[in-house]
Amino acid sequence: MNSAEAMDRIFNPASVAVVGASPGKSGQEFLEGLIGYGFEGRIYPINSRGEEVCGQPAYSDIKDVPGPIDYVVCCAPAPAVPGLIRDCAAKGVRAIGLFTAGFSESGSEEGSRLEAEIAHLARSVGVRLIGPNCLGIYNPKLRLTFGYPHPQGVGRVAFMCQSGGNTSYIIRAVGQRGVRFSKAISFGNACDINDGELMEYFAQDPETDVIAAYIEGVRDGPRFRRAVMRAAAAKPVIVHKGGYTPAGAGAAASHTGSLAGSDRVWDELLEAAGAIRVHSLEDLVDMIVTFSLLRPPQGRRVALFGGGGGATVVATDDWDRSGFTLPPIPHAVRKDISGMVTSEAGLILTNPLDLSSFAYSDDFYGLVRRLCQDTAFADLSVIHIGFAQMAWFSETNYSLVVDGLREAAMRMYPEMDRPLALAVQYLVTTWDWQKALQDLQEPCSEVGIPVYYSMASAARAIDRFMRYREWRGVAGGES
Amino acid sequence: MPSLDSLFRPESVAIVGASPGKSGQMFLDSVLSSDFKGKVHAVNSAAQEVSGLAGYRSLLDIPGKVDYVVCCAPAPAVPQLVRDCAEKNVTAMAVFTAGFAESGTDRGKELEAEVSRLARASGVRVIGPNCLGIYSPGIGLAFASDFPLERGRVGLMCQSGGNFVYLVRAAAYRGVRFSKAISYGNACDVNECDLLEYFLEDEETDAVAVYMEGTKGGQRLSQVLRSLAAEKLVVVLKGGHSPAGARTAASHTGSLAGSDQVWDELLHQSGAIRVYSLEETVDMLVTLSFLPGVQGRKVCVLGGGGGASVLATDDWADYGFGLPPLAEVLRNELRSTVPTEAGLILGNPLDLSGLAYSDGFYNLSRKLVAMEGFVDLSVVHISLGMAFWSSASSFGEQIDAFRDAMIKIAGYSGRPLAVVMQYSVTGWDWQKGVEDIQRGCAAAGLPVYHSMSGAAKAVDRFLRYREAEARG
Repeated sequence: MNSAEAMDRIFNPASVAVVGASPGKSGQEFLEGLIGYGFEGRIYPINSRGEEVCGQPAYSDIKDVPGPIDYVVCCAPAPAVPGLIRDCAAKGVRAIGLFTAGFSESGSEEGSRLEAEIAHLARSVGVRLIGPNCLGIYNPKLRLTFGYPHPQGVGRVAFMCQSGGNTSYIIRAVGQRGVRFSKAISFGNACDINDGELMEYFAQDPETDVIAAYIEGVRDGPRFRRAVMRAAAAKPVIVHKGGYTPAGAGAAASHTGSLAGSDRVWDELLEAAGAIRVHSLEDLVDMIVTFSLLRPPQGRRVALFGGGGGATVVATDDWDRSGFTLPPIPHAVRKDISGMVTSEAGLILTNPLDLSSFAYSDDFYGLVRRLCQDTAFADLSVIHIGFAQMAWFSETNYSLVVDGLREAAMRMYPEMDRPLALAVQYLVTTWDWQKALQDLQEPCSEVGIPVYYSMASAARAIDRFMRYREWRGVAGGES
Repeated sequence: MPSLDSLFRPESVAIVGASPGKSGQMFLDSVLSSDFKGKVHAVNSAAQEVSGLAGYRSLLDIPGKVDYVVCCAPAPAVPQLVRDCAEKNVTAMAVFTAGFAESGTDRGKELEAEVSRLARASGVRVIGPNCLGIYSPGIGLAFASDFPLERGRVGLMCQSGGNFVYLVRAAAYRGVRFSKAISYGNACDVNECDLLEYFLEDEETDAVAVYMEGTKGGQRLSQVLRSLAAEKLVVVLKGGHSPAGARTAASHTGSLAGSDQVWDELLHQSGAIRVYSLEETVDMLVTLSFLPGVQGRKVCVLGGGGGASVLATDDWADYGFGLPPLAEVLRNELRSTVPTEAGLILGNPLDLSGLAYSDGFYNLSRKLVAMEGFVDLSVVHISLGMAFWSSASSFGEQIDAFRDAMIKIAGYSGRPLAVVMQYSVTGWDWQKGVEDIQRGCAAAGLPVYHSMSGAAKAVDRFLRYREAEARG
């Protein structure tokens, strides 16, 4: 069995045991996650008293479980981990996800010693360790998860992440925007399965088209370097390096025991590999959305459509700053619009096209669709909607706009084959943002429209995407 | 010329073009539902009743005086309306009507020039055209129904109506209150220089936010901005700073945007704080309203989540802040209060993960926030979308407890404290976060930010402003 096959087996267990699944403890949460998400294999709760948990009988010891166990989630205290590894070896367990913390990240000698001990022990008995100080494996194909609520459905993005909270956020936030994962892993202190090995695995994984990573520090520099070079040559690799400032590196050492490395080294490595570096989780989400959903534009001519003069001015600045140009609207179309609107007062009938209160009507969509399909005009179209800029805000009008835009966008998008994105400018009041997300953003995302929360972030992400494609065109001989 | 102060204190208002179902009625309804105590009149050509008010056919038919007129009549009718205003002794008229210089047509430009000429000749002050006019919470006058009616100390002048609405709403939801605010559109008569001068004199205004697309003022703008910024904090968002944006600005408010380099020098030399987005503008207003006392760059970050703590540290470090270590005595005390250290970061940042937002967390936070000589600013963060296991019931309880504790801590210590509510994913988290954390905290005088980098950027700008001010 080669290493990719071995890793495949780790990501695809037929049975899972949760050790430390006592009522009211974190082990119970893992168990609830597995049951609620509908894990297809066998689930075995283990707690020292053999107490029933989540309505399921529990075993007091992993050795008592009758059938085989492929994957173990460990919530037992740190000193119990070495014993558990031996028991797992005896049971033929492939891997243990160690939620347990209190190892090298504690900064104590005892913690570091214990981490070295379990890494050594695992290697000698042939059990692989994920973590410690992590959440472990997420594989939506098997409905295997560690948390809740998580989106159902399988996608083509792999995510490897050293932080549990960041893993939870990315799975949810990316899911909210209509993108799903092939696999994800929260791998904490990386005492055994590490960044380099995961990068190698995802590089060759036929279920993965895009690799996203949150890394605080690497365990084996040369291996990671080779792996990221190879991975980025094969597919888009997006990396967020947490702890890139000296102070942040100090925090990373306390979080996952990571040696963060100098920021310049990271910059050079990722640049040389052709990987995409981002500096915030929001940007990571935007890049994943862009690589997964945006139809590739052939150039940088952008057409902006929406309502609101001030929003339009600011949006133009955002796209210009990110290196896009705004070609003028074709003369014939300009004339058509003049014929359509009752008065031109207060409108901007060029590119950006600001139809203010006339926007988001049926005519507006007809026009947008026509312009989107005009290859001689622009390479990319973006519809933006700034709800919070409406002076007179009635629930009825607002619902009409939201519902109308959703219906039009969802009807239009599958019928056209050109790049289109939607920017739902995030607002700050109460129920209206909830409605915008639930009744506009989520349905549009689910039909595959790339949706962003501001024009600035859309422009930044799409610029980065274009630069990646330009680089591939030169370095990779394809576009 | 009289001070612009009277513009913000009309005793009677007339909406011209207040026909049922038209934008004039929207203005009318908003004014009627505000706290404005003066007379409100509706004018429409059919003399139709609207929103329960009798409609007058002409402004001149209104018995008694009219101080402020909002004009929603079509552009060609505007010059005559300025004459009527003069006859009626109206102080100011806001022209909502568009179709002037911003249209790019000769007809529009001529019409605007005519309105401008008539305004000057008659002494009626014209605001706009292509604007929303005045929001004056001091007299309870608002033209949008959800603007707050309490007054504050921030003045706002904005060339775009939509951006005006966004800024007022977004800042208001975060607790910022305004002294006087104006959407001034194409600025054919009342212009940016007049307004900056006015805010300099106005004793009810301590800080001014400006969204400007262009100026006809040149030298005068540079002088008035400098005088204003010498006295009060000024935040400026220049719309149309890129060449493409400048062209859009010309179509929007007929503005000559000018080169970005000129603007950069102008704003820098004046001492104003330049921002680049509406969100940054709001973050600045929150900072100057709620953190006026922050003195330096030592920060303590408290919350739950290891990854969030690492990222928060990077964000503050990126903007030139330091996180001083916790004294060993304190760390020992922390150790004795937690059942196990596993999974926590007992330092600065302080990450109590699963134990965060418990009573123990609040007691510690209270102590750290109140500690003299430790940091200049404490920041407590809650990462709504990062919880591994998030059930609606526990989430709701946690949010309420978090808000109550923050309000108590703020009351206890009096030292600079900020709340960062970040990484919200679903509409439901957002609504909970905004309604139950943000509104409660903002009402208690706490600054609330939506991201750590947004907070760090705003506080950095505020401190750089203070540092420059100290240097003179």
